[in-house]
Amino acid sequence: MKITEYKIDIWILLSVLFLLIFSLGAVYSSSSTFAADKFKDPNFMFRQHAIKVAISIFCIFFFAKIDYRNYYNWSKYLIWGSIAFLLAIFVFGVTEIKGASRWLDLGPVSFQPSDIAKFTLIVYVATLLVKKKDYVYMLYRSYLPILFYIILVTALVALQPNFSTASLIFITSILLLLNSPVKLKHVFFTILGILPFAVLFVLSKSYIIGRLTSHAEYTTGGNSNYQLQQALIGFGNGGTFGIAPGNSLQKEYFLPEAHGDFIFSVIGEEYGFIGTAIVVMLFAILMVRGFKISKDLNDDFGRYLAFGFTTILSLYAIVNMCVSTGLIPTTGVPMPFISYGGTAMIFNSIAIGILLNISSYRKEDKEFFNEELVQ
Amino acid sequence: MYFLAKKNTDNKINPRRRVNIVLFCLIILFGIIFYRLLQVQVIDSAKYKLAAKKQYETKVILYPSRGLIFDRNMNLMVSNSFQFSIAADPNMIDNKDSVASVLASRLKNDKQIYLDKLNTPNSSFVYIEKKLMPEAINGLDTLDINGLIVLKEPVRVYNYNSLASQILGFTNTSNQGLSGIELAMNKELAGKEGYMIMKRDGKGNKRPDNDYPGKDPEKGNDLVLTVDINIQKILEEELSNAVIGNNATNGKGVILNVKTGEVLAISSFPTFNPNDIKTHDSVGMKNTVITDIFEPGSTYKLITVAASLEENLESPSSIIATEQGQMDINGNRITDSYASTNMTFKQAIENSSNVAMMKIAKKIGNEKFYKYSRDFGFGIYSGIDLPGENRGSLKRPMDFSSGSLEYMSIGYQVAINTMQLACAYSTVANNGLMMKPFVLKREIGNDGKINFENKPVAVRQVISEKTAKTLTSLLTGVVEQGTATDAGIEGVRIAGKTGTSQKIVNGKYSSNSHTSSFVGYLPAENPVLLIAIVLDDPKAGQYYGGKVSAPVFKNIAQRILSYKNIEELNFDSPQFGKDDVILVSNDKSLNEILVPDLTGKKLGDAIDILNHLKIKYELSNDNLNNNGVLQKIIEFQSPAANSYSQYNGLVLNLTLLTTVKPEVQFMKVPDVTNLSVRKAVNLLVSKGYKVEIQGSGKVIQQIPQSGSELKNGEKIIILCNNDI
Repeated sequence: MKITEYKIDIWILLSVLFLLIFSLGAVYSSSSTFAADKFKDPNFMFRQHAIKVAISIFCIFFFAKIDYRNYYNWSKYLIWGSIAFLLAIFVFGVTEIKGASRWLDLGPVSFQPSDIAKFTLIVYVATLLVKKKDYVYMLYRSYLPILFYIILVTALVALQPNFSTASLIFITSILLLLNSPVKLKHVFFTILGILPFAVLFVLSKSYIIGRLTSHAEYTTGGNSNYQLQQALIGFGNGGTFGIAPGNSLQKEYFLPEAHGDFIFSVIGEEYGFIGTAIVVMLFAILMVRGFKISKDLNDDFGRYLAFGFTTILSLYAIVNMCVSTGLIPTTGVPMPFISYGGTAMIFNSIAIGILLNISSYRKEDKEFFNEELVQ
Repeated sequence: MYFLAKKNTDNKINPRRRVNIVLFCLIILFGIIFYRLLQVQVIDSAKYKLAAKKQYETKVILYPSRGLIFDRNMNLMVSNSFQFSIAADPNMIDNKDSVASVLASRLKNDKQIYLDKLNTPNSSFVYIEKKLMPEAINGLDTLDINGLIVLKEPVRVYNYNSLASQILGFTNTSNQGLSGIELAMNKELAGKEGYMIMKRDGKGNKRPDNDYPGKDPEKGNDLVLTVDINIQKILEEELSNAVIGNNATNGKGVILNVKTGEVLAISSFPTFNPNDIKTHDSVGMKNTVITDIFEPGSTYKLITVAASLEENLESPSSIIATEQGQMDINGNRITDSYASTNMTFKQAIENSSNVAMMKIAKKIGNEKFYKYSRDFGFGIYSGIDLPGENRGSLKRPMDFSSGSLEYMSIGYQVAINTMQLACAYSTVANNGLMMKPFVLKREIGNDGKINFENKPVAVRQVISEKTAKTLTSLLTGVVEQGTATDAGIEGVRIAGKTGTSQKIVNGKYSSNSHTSSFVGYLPAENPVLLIAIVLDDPKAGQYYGGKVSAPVFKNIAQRILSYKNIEELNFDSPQFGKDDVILVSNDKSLNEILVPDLTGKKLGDAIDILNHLKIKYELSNDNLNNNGVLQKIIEFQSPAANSYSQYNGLVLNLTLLTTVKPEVQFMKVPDVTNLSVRKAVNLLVSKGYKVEIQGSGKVIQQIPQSGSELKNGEKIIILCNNDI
């Protein structure tokens, strides 16, 4: 079977590579004071990060070479593997601050199963949508089985607890369903049915309420959200052109753990509006090109994968930037490809690799399926 | 393989359109983020830059060292040191046991005490030790222990402990003077704060920022007092012996240089140690020489005698009928301790005859007696440069009741402080010229130059030199053959007068509670040194001033004379030339009244004050139509405040400023600069403006300026400064 290879989407490749390279500088600057204090070595975290950036770049190129259609057959194992990891957290999970355990420690590597599950769920939902395409509008045969997996993964992530990631996974899944021929009515009632659970969940977690009220206080002029205030001072102090790379003063303990979820503020401080605008642009390019790939494909499986991966990466970027700039309440969502955070970056890069592979099967190759059919 | 399946061409929906909808929504979100960044980083950037600057830079105040205080012979009385308080935040200390061990070894104390303190529950600040001297902490301040706080505080060191403590006063923990010279000269002693700009990171670590020049603190100015610590020591020792020996509640003593008004010593017993302030010291902290008033009794006969001599009503040899030492005043019998039918004026003084004095006072009359009382400084401030003086009370002639004159002539119905008493006798000693008492001799600036040298100030010529000399010779008789023989010293002529007054207990004069006093000066031929001693409620048997206070005078005088020769008694006092005399003529003082300050006050309040003072008034500019009137305040007064004016016929003219309910109108803003805050606010509010006050004291600037047009109801900012 011969597959005509087309050029991968150079826009996405360059955007992501640029973001990854950019993250080296941002993490180096924002982590050095913290690392010097915590690990007695200012370069400790930078080295860790640089290794992961290297692995990420390797993964992009490696997965760009693997035919995405294989995942159609592997998806059942991928989803159950992910669910097994998510369940393992409750037994072996490494407990972090505020009682949330999100990490699995497997000897030399530790990772967050939710970082894998968010992609494998998309792959599996895409698989099911294709498998059941002839009766996808049917509630019992198609819709509910698909919804089962979505709810299962979302619930396991939410119970870690990691409400923000669960929300993003759920929203992405729903958007994916909306882009398939499932009945709108089903989706509508799904959202209606899940809302009370979401509200109950939020009410049962006091820290979420605390963040919401502190954001409300911030928006009404209070100052209970110290981290956000410091983030904004970072952005504002950077001004249009920034105060030069490496010179962030906010990172020196004013902005807690500046290398993590609030790294965007350090970028804003050091590179100014020019720098942040470029980052926004790169994510926008990634999104537009990702959706374009999805639209250009004739293959439903690739179409769903491209849409799902692009959506979840874009949502992560958007939520992170909204949090850093105080547009929405604080929630722990890292910035894709930029934040120091270990394995999430590698999994995101794998997703980009897959997306690039998908991009090489676009509809310029109109006769592709016909060829296959002919053979 | 799934892609071998036939493409579903029946699909009615167009998924590509739905992708476009999602794309569109997300693009809008990117747009919002983009705009938000534009707003924070470009449009509002300045606001955040300011906030950033604020938190990166902190101004560290550098405290100046406080000025030193010396006695007249440059003995260092007050200097500076540091003391340390050690505190801890128990939450921040990881290994409490080891920290407690360090504390125990450094502070030489039991480890368990510190461990208990470090284990204080629910506290983020616990004092470990307070106020330790630098040598007592053994370098604990150089250790960097997380959670341990070492507070370095400046502290005053009073080198002679309680000596002269009531003159010197003391400071609070932030080194601000709270009493005595420390309070009176606080501004001069305090110096000027400097600062240093520090860069700060989020953990609060500071490091100096070389980009910003700091400012060094300026040390406070040094002070030299007129006090002589040797004489002060003599006074304090003898006074405390007398108070304890006579079982008195309180003793007061003043030693003056009569030629200059310089205070050589002031003591009030019980006293206190400013190095070790305790709350129960509050009695000892008071400088009762100026804060406490009493009815003087016979020492006040000075006024009666001086007035009768100056007015040529009596001469030393005049014969006075003393009615067997008995006289009834308003049904109360007043007796002399030395009863006689007749005695000379001289004998009347030596024996302190009450009857004679009351008879003489009748000749003097209410108004003259009042004039001499006031000219001798009673009822008015002595003017001493120490805070807290109580000027006592002296009735004005119009307030005299029947018998007032007689009682006042023997020292009742009048309240005085010890400093006033000393100054009155000092005036006689100084040939009738009253000098203003002072304790501050000079102020020495940072550069070693003298900023300020206090020169003797003459207040007024109270009596003629002739009368004064006659008085001195009469007072010499009191010591040589009168009531004060116990004050006599071989080979020195001393002039003086005793006083023994009954104290009021439960509203009645008590026959077993007394104020016993003696004021004397020497040498009588050319007086230099004056000593006044007042003992409050001596209860050990003797209570006559001549028996209780006169011996204290004698002991002190003898000890001073063995410390300095009579010729040296003038010490190194500045020569007092004619040019230095600032004479305050006081001839019209009789029946004069100090005009009260009513400007800015509400009409009702002003009328209350005037009624109380029995001053007549008339109103100008009074709006008789009271419709819509908010308030009436006094805008001007005539005569002006704080001037002396004849009481008779005084009608104070008050110009009213009436505030009506504001209608919106443009007005010219009045000039309030140089007014006090109270006056300025009253004036502006009466015009219908709102006022924002910045600072306190006197108005130095107003925004907008006077003369500009401003709608009523608008705000005027006044900037004030209490450095007048």
